[in-house]
Amino acid sequence: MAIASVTTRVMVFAGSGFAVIDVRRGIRGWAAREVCSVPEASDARGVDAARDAVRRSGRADRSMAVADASSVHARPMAMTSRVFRDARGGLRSDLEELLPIDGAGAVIGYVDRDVPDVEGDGSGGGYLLAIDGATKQRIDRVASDVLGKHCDRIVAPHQAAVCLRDCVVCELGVLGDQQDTLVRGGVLAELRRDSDGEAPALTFPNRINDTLRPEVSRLAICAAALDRFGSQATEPLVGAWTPGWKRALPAVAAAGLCVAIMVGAMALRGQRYANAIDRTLTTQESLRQEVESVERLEAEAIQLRERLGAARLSGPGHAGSGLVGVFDAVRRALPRDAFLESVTVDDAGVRLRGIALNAREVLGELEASEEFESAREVERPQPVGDGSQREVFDVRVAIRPVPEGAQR
Amino acid sequence: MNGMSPRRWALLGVLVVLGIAVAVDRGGLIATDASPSPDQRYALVQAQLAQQRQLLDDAGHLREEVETLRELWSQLHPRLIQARTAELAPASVRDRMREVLARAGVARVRVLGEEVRAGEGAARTSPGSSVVPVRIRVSFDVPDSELVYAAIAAIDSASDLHARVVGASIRGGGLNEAAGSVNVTLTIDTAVVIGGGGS
Repeated sequence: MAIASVTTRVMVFAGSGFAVIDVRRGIRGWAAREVCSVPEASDARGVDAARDAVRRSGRADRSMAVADASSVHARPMAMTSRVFRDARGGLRSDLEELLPIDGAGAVIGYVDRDVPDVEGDGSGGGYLLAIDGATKQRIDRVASDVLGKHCDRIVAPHQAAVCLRDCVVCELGVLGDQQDTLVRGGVLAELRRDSDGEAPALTFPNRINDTLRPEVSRLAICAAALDRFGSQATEPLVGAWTPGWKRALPAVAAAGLCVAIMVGAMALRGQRYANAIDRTLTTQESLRQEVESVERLEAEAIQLRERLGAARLSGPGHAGSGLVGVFDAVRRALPRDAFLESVTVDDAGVRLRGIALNAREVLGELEASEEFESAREVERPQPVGDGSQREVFDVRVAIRPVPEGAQR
Repeated sequence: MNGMSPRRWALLGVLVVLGIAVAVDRGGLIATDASPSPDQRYALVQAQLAQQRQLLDDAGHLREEVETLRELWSQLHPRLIQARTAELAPASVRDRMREVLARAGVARVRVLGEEVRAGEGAARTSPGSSVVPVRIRVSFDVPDSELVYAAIAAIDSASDLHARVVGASIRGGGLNEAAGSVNVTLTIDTAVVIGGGGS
């Protein structure tokens, strides 16, 4: 079964002739192509030519026949096609009581009608349709001759009108042309005669000729579309409509395919990532030994840095000279007559206490020294008090910082 | 919307379901911290790989640095005072300082106190070894200032000791005078390697 396109081979019977129309339902809609037309079915040469034409046109997905409108008998019934399906056997056996035809070999069908609820009781209704056994045999014989087999379905033209919903029906009868309004198969000439101009037209052809060719094609399209649009409202004379689940199969298959593609794509994407992750992990594994070696090296570097940092010593003093250098600097800066009583060196600098002839001179010398950054008095100079004119000095000097990198 | 046929509703539903599925797949909407989505896991392992490669790229510089650090450590290690435990470090420092000062001619050294300066860069990088800085204060009397210099120089310049006099208090005889007894208090910083520390 093709998902995108279905071809139905429709034999339209009109009067004593028939036409074979291939109706194709594609993505862009419905299209009809006439395979052959035979004005007189009893013409053996015409039937042979039709058979050749059908053979040349290739295979169709299914076949159906539309009976001649004049051979279809109709009777309004107070039931729906759903009820008809269950009552079909009983109606068939009582057919001669319902319709004026010979019941032997006759086939029946049904079409719902959508009529205004005139009675107000909400009841639905429809038409019982029938063709007699002779008509059925004629259709089967012609189908066998032309198509090589019986048609899958036989419908009445009144059922084809279901596809157009409300439409104007032109019934070309032997007693003259009659134009009625059909509402879902129901001939409503008496109810809708005034709405003729508003509805689409469907002609039931009574013969096969060039003039009626468009009507034949249109009827064929409507008949072919019944399986899709009219299955709920009609029951064919012969055969059955494709079940809903079967009609939905292509769509379900397409949806399933989409879901499969999507799930597959997701799985594929996940798998691609999984493969990429595996490749990356393999690369990581191949680098592991080298990385561990470098990590050990890094850990050793950190340990050595921390050990060396912890062992780093700093303190007052000039580059490389330490505290001895500080004392040397003090000794160089002090006047020769100065006498130190106490020297204290700490992080803040050097505090010097002692005696000198001139305490201010001591401060000045220390300030002038390049070894020290600054010098200040801790206490004002005091005379020694031994009559020697000497003074007690108490000064603090700041040691010039050791340049970075000079400490050990 | 009222004019929408069942088929259009179905198509709309399918599109919504597809959209949700794609969003879940691409956006990792149902992923949790415990189960990261595949792209997150991929990004994670890629980042780890990039980190490893960066580490290997830097290995050359690291090797040079480690060589330099090893050299420095091999020079420093023999000069460090060694102690078996951190608790024994002050005692080791005391003994060593007395030994060094005795070498400089200073006897009867009084230890005024020691301080393990664990908070100032103590390195405990492996269970078996660490380096701790220790500060010790010692006091002694010398007859003249030259011995003070000798004592300080002995500590600062000893080839077998990593220590430095960082503070001093000298009372008594002047630096420019030779008479009298000089009382000296030295503050000395050194480092002790605990547990051997390797070389």
